[in-house]
Amino acid sequence: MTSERWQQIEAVFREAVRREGDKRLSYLEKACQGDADLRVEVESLLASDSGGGLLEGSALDSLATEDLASAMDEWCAEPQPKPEPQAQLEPPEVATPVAGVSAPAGSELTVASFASLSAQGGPEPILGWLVCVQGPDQGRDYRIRCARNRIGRASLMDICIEGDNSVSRDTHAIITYDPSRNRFRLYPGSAHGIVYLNGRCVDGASELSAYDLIELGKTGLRFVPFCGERFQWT
Amino acid sequence: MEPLSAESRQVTEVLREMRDRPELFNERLFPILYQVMKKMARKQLNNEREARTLQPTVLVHEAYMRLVGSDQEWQNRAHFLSCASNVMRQILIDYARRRISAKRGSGAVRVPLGDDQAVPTALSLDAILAVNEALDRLKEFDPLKEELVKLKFFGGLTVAEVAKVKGISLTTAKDHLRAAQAWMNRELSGAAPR
Repeated sequence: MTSERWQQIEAVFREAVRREGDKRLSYLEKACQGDADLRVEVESLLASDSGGGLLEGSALDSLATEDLASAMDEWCAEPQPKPEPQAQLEPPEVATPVAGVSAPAGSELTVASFASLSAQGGPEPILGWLVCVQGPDQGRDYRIRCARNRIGRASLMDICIEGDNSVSRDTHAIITYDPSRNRFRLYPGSAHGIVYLNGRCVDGASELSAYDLIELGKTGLRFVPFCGERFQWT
Repeated sequence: MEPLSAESRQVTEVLREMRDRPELFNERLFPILYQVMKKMARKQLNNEREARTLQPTVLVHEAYMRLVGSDQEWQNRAHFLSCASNVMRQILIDYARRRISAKRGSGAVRVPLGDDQAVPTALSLDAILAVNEALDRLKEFDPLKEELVKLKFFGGLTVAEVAKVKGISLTTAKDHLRAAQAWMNRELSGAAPR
């Protein structure tokens, strides 16, 4: 049905519902003169004008109580959607530790032990921090907890720089932690905003070192690793 | 009432940014509202001894009060509540689809209303899906009516609230809803002329 035709049908319907009995019939006769389809449409609408029906109330009031409660329960129980993997990023490599990983003497460093920490359902282990040293959120710190940390202004970001409007909302930059190599890397995000590392524009994977300066928008962040030369989760 | 400062700023910002491009409201606001409302619902469920006390209508209104506040202009209120109604619609439709699919496989449904078009005592999941499909068809030629029905049916707003958020008089809202209901009743009962 076209919008124009519907407007025509509705206009006749609105006038017809104000009339009863013979007055309605006589109005329809006059309004639909020469347009039998219009009359059929309007009469079928009038027949369905029960003043109620399914839409009298709201689904929230009228749906069976059990169904509504179950729908809300299931919705609340839904897991949070996982972030979409980005093809251009190198995923953290899951492999046995390579030779040369610096670690405290006596520690058995394995990828499996790191993974098990995340899989226990408790809080993810701290891997490092970002400390805001310039910008609206100066003085604030952000925790790096997972293998892939999206940085942006939206609250759903892993690291949310909420006070700086010049930071892109969704994935301005990404910091990854590779447990097999015990290293952090910085990537540009999918947003338009540019990210700088120690004053240089980041256009690919850049390895992070302690106290590196990461700049995005008006915000400057110092990288403080917890995992590194002196510590790694076992 | 505990404020949701970060989310509130985010929602207010989207409302401000999108003021001149209303067609983008749902696209931008929906994912935020979907997650924020779920967070509120989870908190509410955790705080209640009896989980069945979660009231979706209260959730929609409380989300508005906590995220936007009562001092916003009515356009923002309209956009927010429209988007919150979409969230509720999505929740119910997803649930109905899952349940029906699990019971007998998915497929189109037709809802018999009975000869006297009586108001059912409780809506079935089939009816929810049928209303959803009919609303999609209504939107093709009368998006305003689709919006009004959505706010009332899925958002749980009263007719007076629907009129207020859409900036139309109560009489006009009633006229639109009466025509929309007649059309929807006809569609749902399979009585539309061929």
